[in-house]
Amino acid sequence: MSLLAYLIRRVFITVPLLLLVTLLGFVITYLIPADPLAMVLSERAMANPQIVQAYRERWGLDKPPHERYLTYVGNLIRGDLGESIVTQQSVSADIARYFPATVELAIAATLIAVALGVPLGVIAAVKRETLADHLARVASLIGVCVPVFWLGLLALSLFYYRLQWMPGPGRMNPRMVPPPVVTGLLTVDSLLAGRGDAFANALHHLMLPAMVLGAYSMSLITRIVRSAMIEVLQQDYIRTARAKGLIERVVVMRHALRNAALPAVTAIGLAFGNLMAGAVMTETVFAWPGIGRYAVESAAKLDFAPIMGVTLLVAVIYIGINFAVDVSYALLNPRVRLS
Amino acid sequence: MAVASAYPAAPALTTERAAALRRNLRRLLRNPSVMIGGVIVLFWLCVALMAPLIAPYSPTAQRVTNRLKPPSAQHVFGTDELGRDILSRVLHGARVSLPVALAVVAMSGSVGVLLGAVAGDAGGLLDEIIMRVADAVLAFPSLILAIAITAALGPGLQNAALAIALVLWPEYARLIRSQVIALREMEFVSAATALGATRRRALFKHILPNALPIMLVKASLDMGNAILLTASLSFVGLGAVPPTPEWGAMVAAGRHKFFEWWLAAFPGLAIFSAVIGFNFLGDGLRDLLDPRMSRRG
Repeated sequence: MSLLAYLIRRVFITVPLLLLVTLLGFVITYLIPADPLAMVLSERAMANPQIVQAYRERWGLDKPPHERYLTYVGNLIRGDLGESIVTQQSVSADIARYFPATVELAIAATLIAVALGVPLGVIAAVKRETLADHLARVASLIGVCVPVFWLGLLALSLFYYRLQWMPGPGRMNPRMVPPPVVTGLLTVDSLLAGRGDAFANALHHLMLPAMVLGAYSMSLITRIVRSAMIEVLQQDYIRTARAKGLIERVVVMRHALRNAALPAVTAIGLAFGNLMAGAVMTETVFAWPGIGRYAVESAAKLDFAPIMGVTLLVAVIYIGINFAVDVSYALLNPRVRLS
Repeated sequence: MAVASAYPAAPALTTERAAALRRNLRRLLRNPSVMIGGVIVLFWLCVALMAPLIAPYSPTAQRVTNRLKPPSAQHVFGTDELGRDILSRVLHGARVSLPVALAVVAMSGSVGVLLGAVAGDAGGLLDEIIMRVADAVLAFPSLILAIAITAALGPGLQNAALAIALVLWPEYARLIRSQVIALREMEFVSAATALGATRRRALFKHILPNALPIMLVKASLDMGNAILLTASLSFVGLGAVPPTPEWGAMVAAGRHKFFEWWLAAFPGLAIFSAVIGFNFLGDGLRDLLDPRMSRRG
């Protein structure tokens, strides 16, 4: 199968999936037991059937479910995710405001996770069944099992409150003037504005939450790199490479790691998707003004439109990353296209 | 029953099975992951059963004069902002988290197994519909979808458990479906069919029992998952309501109290240890299963 045919097939799988995701979102939205009208109308207005009827017609609540679903999807396509009851703003505008903070945190966490997870996985595989391997395995198990919100609280309590090595919650010292918004990523914007002080401050604030958030991904990456490396190291071409007298470092780094890179790419892609979920808890603990905290705060106030907006956005990102991983997989490995 | 007697079990097979069972049990006890995980899980099970007997205080008894006391001989884990003994609350918390996790795994497991078996067995359009819905659910990160569903249903431990079950079933469905499809081609299933077993009988008596071990591994890993998700939902205020001694909610109570570290530290440690116990157990069980799985297919 050609690459183009493969891509087309992937698109044909992805688009219905996206539609199903919106259908699920629609179903959940209409699970809400409370009458949405009760939230916008006063008690007196609710008692007046004419007003209620007018509102029902105005919001299309009198239409049959399938028509309402079409309206819902139409709104989604136009980027209309509804309105937040609490902030009185459109959810899309809110998300646009909070999203860069989440992206910055997720990228930093991924960088940390890759920088630590890949070497740990390689070492564990090369020194298989030794103390180093067992330690790496236990460390990755801990990373998967530890509650992110608890890890965040402990880290804050130790590094911020006791040792005072790290700044407190938030993205930047509130007394510092933030750089003009270009990308929304404070570190990048500071550099673009040539503000070294702002960059250092933003980076310092970013480090602790990124480490906490990256712990889970690091564990995932360590596990997958380890098992991929173990499999590759048993291949004939590795024996050949060793037999022709290559030093072990070259065998591991050039021959084995490159071939183990494919599953590692998948792991990193999937880990990034999971980061979005972990970000919900990390942002809540670190008062990080991203979409995760926005969703949690809305959830606490039962403000439903923002929760569903964030949920759908994250699902779409997740599907998008999966799609990108599949495509990069096919580009890197011609064998994938054949299956 | 009359049907069952049509397939008499060969005695030789039974002894062989018993021997295999003993061999597996020995391997089970020699596996360090299973041992460590088993001991931790057993510990929490005992705590859940005996909490009222072993807890030094009532989990809800308040003593305002005793607020926010650090760990001491009287209160090993300290006291919270209402003067309640944290150790007693952590011990009683096992009676909340473990049953909720069990209910979640039972719900998601049974729904997932049923739908997965139907999908794998029926094939065609039904299979397509079930699995595409499963894919759509899996497209959401589980925690975020659980938050959305709980918020829609209304906060509370029961709704949180229901939401988590709704989020976790697709993995069971996928697992069972692939098992059903793989096992259907096995000779012992063909043999049963050749002897006149109906499709349904082949599914329930021959295929599903053979998929059971892998389900147990999944269930063990998911117990940890369910505990973590429940605690997370409670932490953000969608799960347990006060004064329920739920671990996640207890950690949340210590959120803004960095000086009183014991408020969050001990309940969090309880979550962490329970989750790691179930993960060790599941990991170890999977290690033991792996060679057999590879021999099968």
